[in-house]
Amino acid sequence: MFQLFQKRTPILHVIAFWLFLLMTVSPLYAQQTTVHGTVTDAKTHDILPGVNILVKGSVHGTSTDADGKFELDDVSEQDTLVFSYIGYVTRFIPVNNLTSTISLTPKSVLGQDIVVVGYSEQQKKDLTGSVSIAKMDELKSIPTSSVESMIQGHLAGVNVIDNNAPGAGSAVRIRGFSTIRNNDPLYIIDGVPTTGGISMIDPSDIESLQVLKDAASTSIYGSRAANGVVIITTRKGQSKNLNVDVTAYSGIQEVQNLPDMLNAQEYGDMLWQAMRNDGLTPKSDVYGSGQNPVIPKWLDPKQTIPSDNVDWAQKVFHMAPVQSYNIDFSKGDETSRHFFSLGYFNQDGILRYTNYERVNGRINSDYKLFDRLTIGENLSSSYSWTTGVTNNSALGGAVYNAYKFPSITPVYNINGDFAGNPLNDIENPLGRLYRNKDNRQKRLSVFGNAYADLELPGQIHLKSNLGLNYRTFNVRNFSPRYEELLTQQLESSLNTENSYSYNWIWTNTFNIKQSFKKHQFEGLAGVEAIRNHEENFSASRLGFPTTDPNFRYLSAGNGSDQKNSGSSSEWSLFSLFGKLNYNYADRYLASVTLRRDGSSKLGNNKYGIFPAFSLGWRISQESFFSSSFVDDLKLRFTWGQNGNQDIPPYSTLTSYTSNPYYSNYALEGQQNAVNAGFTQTRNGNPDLKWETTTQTGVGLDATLLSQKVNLSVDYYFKKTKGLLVERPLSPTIGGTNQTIWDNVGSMENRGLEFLVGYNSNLQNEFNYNISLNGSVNRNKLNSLPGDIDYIGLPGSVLHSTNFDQEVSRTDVGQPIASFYGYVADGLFQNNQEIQNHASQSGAQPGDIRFKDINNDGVIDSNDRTFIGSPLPDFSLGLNLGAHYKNWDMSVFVNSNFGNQIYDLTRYYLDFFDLSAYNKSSRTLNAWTPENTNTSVPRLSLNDNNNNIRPSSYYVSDASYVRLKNVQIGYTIPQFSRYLGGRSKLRVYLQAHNLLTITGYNGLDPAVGLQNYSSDNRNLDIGVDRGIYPPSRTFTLGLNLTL
Amino acid sequence: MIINMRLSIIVCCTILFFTACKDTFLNEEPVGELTESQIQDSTNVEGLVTSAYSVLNGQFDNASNAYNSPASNWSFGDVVSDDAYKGGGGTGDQNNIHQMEIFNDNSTTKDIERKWLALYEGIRRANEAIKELQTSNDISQHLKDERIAEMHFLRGHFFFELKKIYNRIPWIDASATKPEDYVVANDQYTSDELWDKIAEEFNQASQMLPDEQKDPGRPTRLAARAYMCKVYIFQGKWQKASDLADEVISSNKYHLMNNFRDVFLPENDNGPEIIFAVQHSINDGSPNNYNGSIGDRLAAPGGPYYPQYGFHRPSQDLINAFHTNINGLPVNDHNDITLSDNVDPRLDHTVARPGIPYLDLGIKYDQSWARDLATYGPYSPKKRMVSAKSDHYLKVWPYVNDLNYYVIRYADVLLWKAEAAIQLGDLETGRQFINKIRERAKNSKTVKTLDGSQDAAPYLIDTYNQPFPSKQEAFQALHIERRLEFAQEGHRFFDLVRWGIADQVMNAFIQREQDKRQYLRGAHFEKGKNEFFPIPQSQIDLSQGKIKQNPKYN
Repeated sequence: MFQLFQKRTPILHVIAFWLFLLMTVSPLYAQQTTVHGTVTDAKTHDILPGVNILVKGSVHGTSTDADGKFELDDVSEQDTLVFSYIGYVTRFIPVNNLTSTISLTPKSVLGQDIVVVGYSEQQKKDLTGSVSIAKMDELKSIPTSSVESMIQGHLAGVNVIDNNAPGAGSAVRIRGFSTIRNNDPLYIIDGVPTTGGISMIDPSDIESLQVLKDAASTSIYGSRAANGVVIITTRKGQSKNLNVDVTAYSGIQEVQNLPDMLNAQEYGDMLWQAMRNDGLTPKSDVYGSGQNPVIPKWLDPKQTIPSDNVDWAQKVFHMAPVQSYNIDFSKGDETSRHFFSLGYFNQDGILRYTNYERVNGRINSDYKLFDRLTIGENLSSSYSWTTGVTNNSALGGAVYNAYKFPSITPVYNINGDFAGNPLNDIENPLGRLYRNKDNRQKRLSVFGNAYADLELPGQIHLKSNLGLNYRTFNVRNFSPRYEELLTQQLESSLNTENSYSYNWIWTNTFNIKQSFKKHQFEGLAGVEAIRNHEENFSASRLGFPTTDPNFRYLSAGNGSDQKNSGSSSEWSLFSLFGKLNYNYADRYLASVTLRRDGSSKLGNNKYGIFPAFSLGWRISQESFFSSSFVDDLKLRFTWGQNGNQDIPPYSTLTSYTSNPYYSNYALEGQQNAVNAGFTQTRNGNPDLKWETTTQTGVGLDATLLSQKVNLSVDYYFKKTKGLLVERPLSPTIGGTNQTIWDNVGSMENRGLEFLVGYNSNLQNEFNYNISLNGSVNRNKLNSLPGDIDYIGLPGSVLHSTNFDQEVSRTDVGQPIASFYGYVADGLFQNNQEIQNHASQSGAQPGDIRFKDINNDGVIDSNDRTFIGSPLPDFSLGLNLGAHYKNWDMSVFVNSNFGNQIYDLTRYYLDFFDLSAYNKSSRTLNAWTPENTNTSVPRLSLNDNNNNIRPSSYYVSDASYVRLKNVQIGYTIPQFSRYLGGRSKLRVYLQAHNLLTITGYNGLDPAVGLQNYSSDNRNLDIGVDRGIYPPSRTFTLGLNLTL
Repeated sequence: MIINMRLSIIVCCTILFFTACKDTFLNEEPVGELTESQIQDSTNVEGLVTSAYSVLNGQFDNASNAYNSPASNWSFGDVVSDDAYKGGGGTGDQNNIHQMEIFNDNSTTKDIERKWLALYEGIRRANEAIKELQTSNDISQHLKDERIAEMHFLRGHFFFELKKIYNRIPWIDASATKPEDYVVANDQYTSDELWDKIAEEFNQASQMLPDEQKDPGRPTRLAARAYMCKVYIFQGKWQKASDLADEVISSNKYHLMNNFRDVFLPENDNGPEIIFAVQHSINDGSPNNYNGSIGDRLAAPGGPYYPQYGFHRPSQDLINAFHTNINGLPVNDHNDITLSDNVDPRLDHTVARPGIPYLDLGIKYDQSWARDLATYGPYSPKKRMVSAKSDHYLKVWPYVNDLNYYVIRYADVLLWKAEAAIQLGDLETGRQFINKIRERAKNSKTVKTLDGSQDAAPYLIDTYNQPFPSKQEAFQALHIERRLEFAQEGHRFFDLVRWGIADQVMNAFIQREQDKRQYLRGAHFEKGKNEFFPIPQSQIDLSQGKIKQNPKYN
């Protein structure tokens, strides 16, 4: 028979499989009496319609009607009834103890949460792993489109690094950086795994969000879970009556803490000072050649650009609105549940002409058939428009360019066009933003799953889940013709880009719960297949007849110079997994998981096995333990392994491709055509294998003082071996493929997390809660092979992002992306000091003294060292909440300590090596023989000391404490009087990013990554090149329930 | 228990199902790529050959900074010489090249690594093509030989570039397959052995290359001979160089164009004077126009028609070198000239001087075009710039053109002949060939004023009409002639080095110019060090100790 199975197609296998399972079970039981009652909310005493009531150990049951009433016949006195309702703690009540009113406690009461873990659910008290739970109800009002941003700072050990631009990405880092390349967690939305961001999800649709942090919890997700797992469950219909929820807010955002640049006159003065320092007679095309710089009336010979004095950093920002509206309808009973929602979000960026807009809809429904079979689907779709700009880049960054743009230039010339500047090559910052305003990136995403869950006697569930993630992307980037003084584009151009990707996931699981006496078992076995396909295409033309957005299509351009490119990739993953949970008398808990993954991305080592186990001891359940002080005390231990296979597809293969950037050649002497060539695509490494992360952790959970205080502490040690690194090869192999993907080196993270909370009595008229979370993480690269000195950004990206400055390195013994350079040791005050110092060529008084690290008497490149780390020593989050009658209030404070920023904006702003660009007002305090008590080196156009070189001069402490959120709400009493039913209205006022205390004097101390999508993103952290700043936002919102 | 037995059956079945369908599901088949077996197909193997040519222009990855690895050597050959300044928006703009300019570069300087990578990429691609050509059964023997010969030519070119820039270089041939095979020592061969191996590449190429090529991008037999001549010139093997130059000259396949300026028009960039050129193309469907003059894109001079990148700026000393006396011969006194001084007419074809019309734009170049005037002076590049009105110029980023870069043009061969003759003591032959160059310059159209009525400046040039009194003076004439004829073409520094006068010339230049160009203060050319650039640090780090740094670099 097994032979027979093997020869059939997969479809037949599935049918046979299910039939077989059905044959293996048969019902055997009998009943006697009828029971009835009403189910209510324990806290509000509201009636609860649609509560599921089952005879324990059977499929026999019913649910409450619209009035919360139920009736169930054929039950025996020995039976136990199970009352379950989404969002509430399930109750088990023996029939002989049944009262006429059964109250259910909302899950949010601490300690009783149901936690969704890998492919199943668990009560929090039974958890042996380390899981953080976000209270999404409190976070949904945060004025951002991104779920990740909402949880920032709220969960211990979960660090969210935000880009801040509307609709732009954020990076979530759980328990540090465990690898070099991809450190993003795996997201599981309604059981469907996805990577690459979750911007398609509307925060309002989220029922619960949990973060699995330790290996024992995540190991069941195997090869993609080494960076932690974020599990999101979306909402379902709950109430027999139609329930309508409306949430809305609208607010205003503003920029704060803008750095101060030189004004038009000050710039001239400092230029004069710099030239005098160099022994030059000051002169400038713009400021004349007099004793003092003079601002001319006109900046161009044609007299179209009058001189002005503009604070450009201020000019590119504005107050911008943000608004969000969401309405959802839900209804549920014993046989079917429905949830339908529509949402709209619109955020204008504080940087002018940037915007994000999203509409999304969701339908979640499920149906119960034949008492045993549940089929359902969750389907969401979102469409978004983003107008973004380059930010945090040394070249072309919108904010940095505003810093660099001369104050002397007006916004407009006398013809009303954006004025060009007479000093440097930077495009009018406002003009650039304006010209970009219609270049909207459009993203359509369809994400969802359909599932069937067959419940068999003996608490057996067979579940099949088919998920789909489909995304399309389109942008038409148009650059109109423009002419400014020193920069121009004489032809308009349009680049159209299209891409799509789909990802399907088919998961089948088998779940069984058994118990005898004090032993409880839960077993899970499953299989999962994933396939991913993506394809992109882009094309461009020049010479468009008009700038009208209606003509921004390729065909409107000049056909003689069309360009195009396209590519595609595919990968698949096939997995088997199993889990066994054991619980003895609610006292001893154990869990074992095992997963075997096979990946198409790997060649000779396709398969990886990832084991994990965890143990829990609920000390408070022991007979020897009796304390009126402690309600619950649990000790946890976990160990497990996870993998990472996130390398580009085909990394194991050597192949050839025609790359339009560097493969083609005009062999025939053509001037507008090329012959296609083939270049080796990569150096394939067939022996590439998984990267393995092993994590060990211990934790302690406690609930004290009648559940008023809860406490959770975790320690972990995480070591990643066989790091997937694109290792450099001997450069004699050539520059196109100078690397090979390989498993090299190891990295470790160790850390401590805690969460402590206090809830006053919820029944009181005035009640409040406080919670404090904190985490410490130490990251370190442990080893690299001898022939690799360090890992750095590839030379191909250094120019545009860093203006060719190598400022960070990832090296053995150091945290990832540590800052690297010379140590600036103050300024030379006189020639004597220079002579007494190690030989530093070109040094003059007022120049930076660099430290002779290797003590060889010469300052050279061997004196570079590690000069700071972008990773914080510790992070704290403090939440305060209070209710008084109809008033409520919450405050959230978020902080990081001990991290540094490499402030690369100083490259242009502090040094006159790039004299044509505007400077920071710091230069007013530059060293002169009269002004010696300063840290700003003397100004010079001919910086012979090379003061501008990468050094600790650029490094600042970036610790901060931020009053992240303050909210005050008022629930209108007896609102149902006006609208009837259970209607309820709450209005609130909120301030976000209200206040930041920091020693950093750049725009904002929370500097994230340079790029949120590049493969090198983790090698470049905390370098400030003019970031898109977080906005201070004030919102007014309402929550209406009908 | 019955339930347990059933359970185990379920589990077994489940596992059975799992294992049944996985075999093809996890296959790794690349989309949009050719496998190693497909590449040997005759048309595909031609693609490998094309790809080896493709990297000639210094563009070897997706990055937009081929100016750090330029085919034209504007930074490696001109900026570090007395002919040009780096330019751009101050010394901090491409600070790496600034460090090169003031001879403060080190093994981590970015250009030094990028150039190395570009050249070794060329060698790797040539080797790959040779390997696949040799094993392909799908291509005629004749074509196979010809293509392999082309690859030898290219490999010779890339090694030549490496040798003149880095001196001590590891030799990689087509036997390298695995990554370990690329870890090779750089002191395996002496300098002369390396030159001989390079000459041998061209020798092998010349045996199989045809006299005529249908595709102008491919080298001919004579191109290989000319390049071999260049190798001997660098090696100082004067007789061999002289013979090869004779061979090229007597073939009568090449001649100087009548007009000096015409040589640098894209319309003529595979013309009668061109022996081997890097082919450039724009608007050819490539996404970023990286097949154009991408390595030179920062040379755009600013003004109303060009973006103001403003790099590769002619030095005052170069301008002064064009000063001629009343006999139309070089003055060569390094004194600053004015617009009223007599100059060699090639000057205003080579550099932009304020007050002189710029190409055919119908306006005068103005010093306001020049970026960071205070630091880098008023002059801008012109010779290899293409008119902004021409279709050969790309009016959008990256503002490149399709004018080819000339690796060897006929004028080169004539002056090599002259140089070899002088070195061999035949001063008259030397004078004759130098005069051929001056003759053409003399008879060329000059730059006119905007209304076209008269010369834009007092141009005066003549041939050397008296025999050179001494070898010393003959050499001096040759020296200055190469400078004037090839200014801004990336050769100057390498000439100074092979002549052994780089230290004198450069230190004198630094001395003279440091009041105008103050960043030169403290700059010093160290003899025995700065003739060559350092071996990139990444190469040393990844060579398992097999690579030795050049003398005096640490």
